[in-house]
Amino acid sequence: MADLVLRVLRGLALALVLVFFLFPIVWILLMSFQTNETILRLPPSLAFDPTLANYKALLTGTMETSSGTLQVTFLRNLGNSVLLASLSVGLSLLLGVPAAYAFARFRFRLGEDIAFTLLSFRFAPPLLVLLPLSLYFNELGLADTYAGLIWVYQLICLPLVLWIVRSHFEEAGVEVENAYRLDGHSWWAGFRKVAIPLAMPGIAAAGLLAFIFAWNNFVFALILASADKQPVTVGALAFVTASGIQYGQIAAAIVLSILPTLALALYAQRWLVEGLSLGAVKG
Amino acid sequence: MSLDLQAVSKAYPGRRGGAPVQAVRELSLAVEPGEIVALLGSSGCGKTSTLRMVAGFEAVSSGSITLAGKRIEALPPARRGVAMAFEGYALYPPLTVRENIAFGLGNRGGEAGRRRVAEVAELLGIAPLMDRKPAALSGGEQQRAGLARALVRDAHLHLLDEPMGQLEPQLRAVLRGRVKALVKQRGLTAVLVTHDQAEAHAMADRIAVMEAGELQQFGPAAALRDAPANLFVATFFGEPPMNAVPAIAEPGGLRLRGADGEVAPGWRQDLPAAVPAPAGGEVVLGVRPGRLRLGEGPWRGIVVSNQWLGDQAHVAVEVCGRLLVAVSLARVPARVGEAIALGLDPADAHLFDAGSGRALAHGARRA
Repeated sequence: MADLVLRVLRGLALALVLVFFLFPIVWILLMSFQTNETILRLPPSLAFDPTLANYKALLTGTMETSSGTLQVTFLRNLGNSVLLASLSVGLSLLLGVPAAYAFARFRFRLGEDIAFTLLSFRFAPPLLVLLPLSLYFNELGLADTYAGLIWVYQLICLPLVLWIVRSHFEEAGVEVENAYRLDGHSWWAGFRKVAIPLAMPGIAAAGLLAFIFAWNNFVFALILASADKQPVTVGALAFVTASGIQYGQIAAAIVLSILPTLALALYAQRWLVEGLSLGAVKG
Repeated sequence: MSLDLQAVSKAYPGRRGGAPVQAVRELSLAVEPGEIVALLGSSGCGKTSTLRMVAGFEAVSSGSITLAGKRIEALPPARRGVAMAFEGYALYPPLTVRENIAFGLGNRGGEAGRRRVAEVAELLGIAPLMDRKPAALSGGEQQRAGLARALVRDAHLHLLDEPMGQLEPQLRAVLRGRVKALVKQRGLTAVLVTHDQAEAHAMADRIAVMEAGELQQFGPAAALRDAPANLFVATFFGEPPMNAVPAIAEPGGLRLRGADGEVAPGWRQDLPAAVPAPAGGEVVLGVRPGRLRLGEGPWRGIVVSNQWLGDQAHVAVEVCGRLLVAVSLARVPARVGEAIALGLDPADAHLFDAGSGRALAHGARRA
C-alpha cells in the first residue's frame, strides 16, 4: 500500500517537472493552431477552434494580414537552416575528428596552444568579430554566400567537436589501437576501425551539439547573408509586420523548425546509447 | 627468435621547453631464441619504454633493434611479428572473450587455431567466460583474456607487460608456472616486463635489472644475487635488502666508517687476501641480512628491535650509529637495549666502490 502511494507520488512529481519544463513548448504548440485574436485574448484560455491557417501560410508562402498579403520565405529559410547546419557540422566533423585524434595521441610543438586557440573562438562575443569579418568577407567575395556562412559557422562547431571528441579519444586510450596494430593492421586501419568506433558516442554528441548551436545561430547569418540565404532564426523576423506581430505563425514556424533537430537527436540517440554500453574499455 | 637491442636510447622532449627526458640510455641486450627474459625495475626505470620501442609504439631515438635477423626499429608494429599482452588489457570491447583471443589468428587459425584458443583459455582458467564481453569481466579476468590473446599467436617474439599484476596472489603463483611451461613447450621467445621480483625469478631464464633508463645487470637470477654488479642491484634484491656500510680499505682488511663519517678504531673487518681491495680506497661493504652473524664477531652493537615473524627473526642492531639488519631462522634471545656482538664471514662480504657503486669483489660463498 505504502509502495503504491509512493509510486503515485513519484509519478505526480515527475509529471510536475515535465509540465514545468515542457510548458513553453506545449504552449507554443497550442498557439500554432490558433489565430492571433485567440492567442491575444485575456485571460488566456485553452478552449479554441483549432486552425491550420498558420501552417498553411508558412507552407504556401503567403501571409494574410490586416494590411494586405505578404510573401513568406519560411520554407526557403528552413532549407537554408538545414543546408547550413548540416554542411557546417559535416565539415567540422571532417576537420575536427582527425584534429581531435592528433591532439589526443601526439605531443607536438605548440599543440596545446593551438587547441586552446581553437577553444578561445568560443570566448569572443560574435558581435566583436562581426565587423572586421564582414569587411573581410566583402573583400574576399564571401559575403552572402553559403560557403562563407559555413566557414564562419566553424567558429561555433569546430571547437565543440574538437574538445568533446578529443576527451573521448583520450578516455578510450591508445592500447586497444596498439593491440589492433600488432595484430597486423596499419595505423590508418586502427584509426578507422578502432579509434573512431570507440569515440563514436563522443562524436555523435559533439555532432548533435554542434548542429543545435549552428541551427540556433542568429547573428552571423543576420549580418553576413541576405534574405535568400538566411536561416529560420533570421527569417522569423519577417513575422514582425507593419500590422503587428504574427504570433500564430511564429509559433507554427518554431514547431516546424524544432522538428529537424528533434529528428536528428532521436537518430543520434542510437549511437549515444550504443556507445555507453560499449564504453567500458577499462576494467 | 632472437632479439638483439644495440645501444637503444629513448629521449622524450621536455615539457614546455624543458630539458629532454632520457627514458632509456644506450641499452644493449640480446635475447636468445626460446628464452624468457624479464625486464625488472621500479616504475619509471625505462622498462616499459623499452618494450614499447620493441613493439613499435615508440620510435627509438638512436640504436638498432634486430628481431629474427631483421632490423625492425623502423618497421610499423604490424610488420614486426610481435605479440603483446598489455598492462591495460586492451581487449576489443564489442567482441566476446573468445573472439578477442582468436582475433590475431584471423581465419588462418582454422580448426587448429580454435583448439589452441580453447587450450590456452583452459590453461588460464577463463574457459567458462569465453562468450562474455570484456565489460562483464573483472580486471583479473580481462588481464588473463589479454594474456591468452598474446599467447595463442604465432609471433617471433611475445611481449608480456605486467601480465599478472591484477591477479590474486595465489592464482598468480599458479599461472606463472603454467605460462612458463606453455612458453617453453611452444618454444616461444618472450620478454616479460615486471616490477615483481618473485615473478621475474619464477618465470625468467635471465633477468635484466633496469634503473634510471640504464641496464644495471643482465644475467640469471643466481648471478644477480651472488655477484651483483653494483650497489643498486645488490640492494634491489632481497627483503630486507643488503646492509651497506661505508669503509676504508687497508692491506688485508677494512675499517668501517661510523655514521659521523669517522673511522671507528676497533671496527676492522678482515678480508681474505684474494679480495683485491684498493688500499686507502673508499669502499662500501655489503652483507645480506641472512649472513650477518649475531652473538659472535669483532663488532659490538646495541639491539634496537628484535621481531619474530613466525618463521624468522628480524633484528636491527645499531653499530657505531648505523643500523644493520640481521635475519635469523632461529629466535634470537637478545633484548632491546642490550649489547650484542656481531660480525660476518669474509666469504659473505661484497665490496663496492663508494663513488661509482660498481662492484669490486664478491665473497666466495654462493647463496
